[in-house]
Amino acid sequence: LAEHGPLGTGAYRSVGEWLEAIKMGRYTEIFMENGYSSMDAVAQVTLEDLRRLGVTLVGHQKKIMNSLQEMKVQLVNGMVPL
Amino acid sequence: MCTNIVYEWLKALQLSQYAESFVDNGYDDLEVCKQIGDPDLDAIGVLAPQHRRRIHDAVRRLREQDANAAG
Repeated sequence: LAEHGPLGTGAYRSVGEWLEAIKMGRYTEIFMENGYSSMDAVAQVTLEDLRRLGVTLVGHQKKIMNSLQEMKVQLVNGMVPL
Repeated sequence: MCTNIVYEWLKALQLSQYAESFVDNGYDDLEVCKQIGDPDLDAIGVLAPQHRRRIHDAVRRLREQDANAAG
């Protein structure tokens, strides 16, 4: 399942860059407008939050949550320098 | 590398041309494919009515298999 590159939250300079990287760039504006404008803020996002933001497609929810999960795992493993 | 299950599923439906778009949109296993409806197909870019119908039928079969396995 290691189809994404080894990139942690620290690897993306902006929320837009992260979303583009996972091909979910269409949600950039919604994230920014709702206060998820930094990677730190995005790291706290839950499935509930995504639904509230209007990310209703299950595939897109899965993609975004998987990517966040991956970034957290990498942080825990210390792969990404803070 | 094992072949993606969604690719195999779409290949069986003779719709493998959509496999990359399915995976790119997060529809990368059959659990998530079971939840596919019209908005999902819009996002994936399956526009041809006969292709949409074929996928809807296959999604229904996936759900039925589930119900049978549970029963």
